[in-house]
Amino acid sequence: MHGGVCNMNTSLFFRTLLLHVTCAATTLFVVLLVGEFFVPGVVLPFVNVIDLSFPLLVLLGLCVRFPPRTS
Amino acid sequence: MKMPRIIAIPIFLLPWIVAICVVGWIVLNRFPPNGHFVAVTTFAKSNAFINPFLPSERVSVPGKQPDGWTGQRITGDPTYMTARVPGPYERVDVELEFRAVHQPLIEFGIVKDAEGKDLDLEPLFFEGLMTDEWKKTNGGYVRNAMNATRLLSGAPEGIATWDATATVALLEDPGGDARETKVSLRGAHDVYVVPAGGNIDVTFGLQDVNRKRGNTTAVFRVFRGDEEIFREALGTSGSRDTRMGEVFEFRVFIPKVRPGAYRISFQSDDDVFIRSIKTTSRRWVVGPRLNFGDVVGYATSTMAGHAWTTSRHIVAETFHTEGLQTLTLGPASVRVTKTHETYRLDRTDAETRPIELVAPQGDLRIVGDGWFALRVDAFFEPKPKRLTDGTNVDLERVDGVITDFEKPEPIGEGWYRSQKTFMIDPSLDRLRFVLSAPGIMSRAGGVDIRRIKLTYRRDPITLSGWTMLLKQELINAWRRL
Repeated sequence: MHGGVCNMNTSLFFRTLLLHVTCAATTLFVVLLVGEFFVPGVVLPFVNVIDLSFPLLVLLGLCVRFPPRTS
Repeated sequence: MKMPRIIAIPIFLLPWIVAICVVGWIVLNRFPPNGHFVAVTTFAKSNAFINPFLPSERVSVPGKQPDGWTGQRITGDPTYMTARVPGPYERVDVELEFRAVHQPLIEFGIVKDAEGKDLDLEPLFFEGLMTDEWKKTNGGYVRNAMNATRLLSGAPEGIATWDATATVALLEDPGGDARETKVSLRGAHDVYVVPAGGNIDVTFGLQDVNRKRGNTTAVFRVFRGDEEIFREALGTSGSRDTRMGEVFEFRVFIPKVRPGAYRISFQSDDDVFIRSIKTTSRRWVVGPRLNFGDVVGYATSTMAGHAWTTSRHIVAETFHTEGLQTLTLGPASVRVTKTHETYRLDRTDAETRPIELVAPQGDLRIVGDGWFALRVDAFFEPKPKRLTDGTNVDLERVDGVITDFEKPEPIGEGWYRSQKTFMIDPSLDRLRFVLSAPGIMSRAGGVDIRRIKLTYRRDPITLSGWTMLLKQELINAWRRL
């Protein structure tokens, strides 16, 4: 397991957090796009999903560069 | 440094909680529990739910205007505004802040079909009724000096209607012999008659001129108010399809009718001419559309168009060079110098009795704000006149207006606030509103709009309501696929 049973080192913690943030953002992005596809106007007037795509790409890049492992 | 797992795991859950909250926030906006959703635009920037008025050649660019205010100026007619519906709603309240610039009459409504033909227009503003001289009463407005029950009497004299239906006036004349009037009316017409001796008896001389091939069907329908009491269809071509048909008669006879003004609606295309009208009715008029037809192939000399009318505003158009002429309406006249172009004629005199309309060459299509008698002694007003942008309530001695118009609330510096409510189809994704300002271009007027607030409404959500909404959303989604 990452970092042992009880504790995680700081690097692993931040890398894992980055992974969770990226996964949650990607899931949200996909859910919103699918929602907008099926019910046009349900998402875009409230959240401009397209504007979120660049930060999401940055997050994905960081996640590939810093995967959650100890070394 | 080590991070205890018991602290790390809740922190890892945070982004997922945020994502769920975002989805929940969107769902709450889509399905507000109180059943209300509000969208407001001031035209200062684009709005996701309300688009500016179009087409662009009839409106200014939304935003800061040259004279300092922020909004959009409408300079043409009609103009349309679309709105994105934020879910399945039953009705929408539209609140407008507007200012009329040299524009006496404005109507606002919703387009109910995709083709844009089914409009639900409501009165928004009429300059003539904005003074304190007019009081609101049951059914509309009357001058302060008038009895409040005047609008309900059914008598049309001195009364105008604006997007409303008037009570049927109880009219009846004694019976007598039928009198024939030679006319040349082309295509569909509405003829209003007063029953004579308790009967309606009108015989039309009809002729199919067969200028286009194929059979022509004409329909006669008779109405008392909105109630249809007679309908009969007939074919007009017979065996001839390449040359002018014979004149034949069609009789509309309805015995023992109640007193009232009856509308005989003749519906056909422009291939069918009415050549004569023979009736026992003493009073009968045509309108508000009157189409003097030509007599080519029917008579050797030109048949002038003569009528008597209380119309104060008419528009005329001809489709043939033979129809170019000077049209006279009492003291006013206009030269019709081009085909396929509308010419407007407005009276400014104070005469309230019928005056003569003369089209020396015939062959002219006329639409008025009143009715046309084709015999001088046959004139009557079957119902109140329509209120138009050209109506001068003082000059035309209008003492009452039948309308469901609610005066807009003045909010200073010429601005008004008005609210309209429209029922909407819950399956619609977009709404299309229409703002009509008739005659705005000819008078170089404008309608300034500085704020629009749309409040969508439905009943507050219950569990069963939630299920219904979800079902409606799924049906809408399926239709879009």
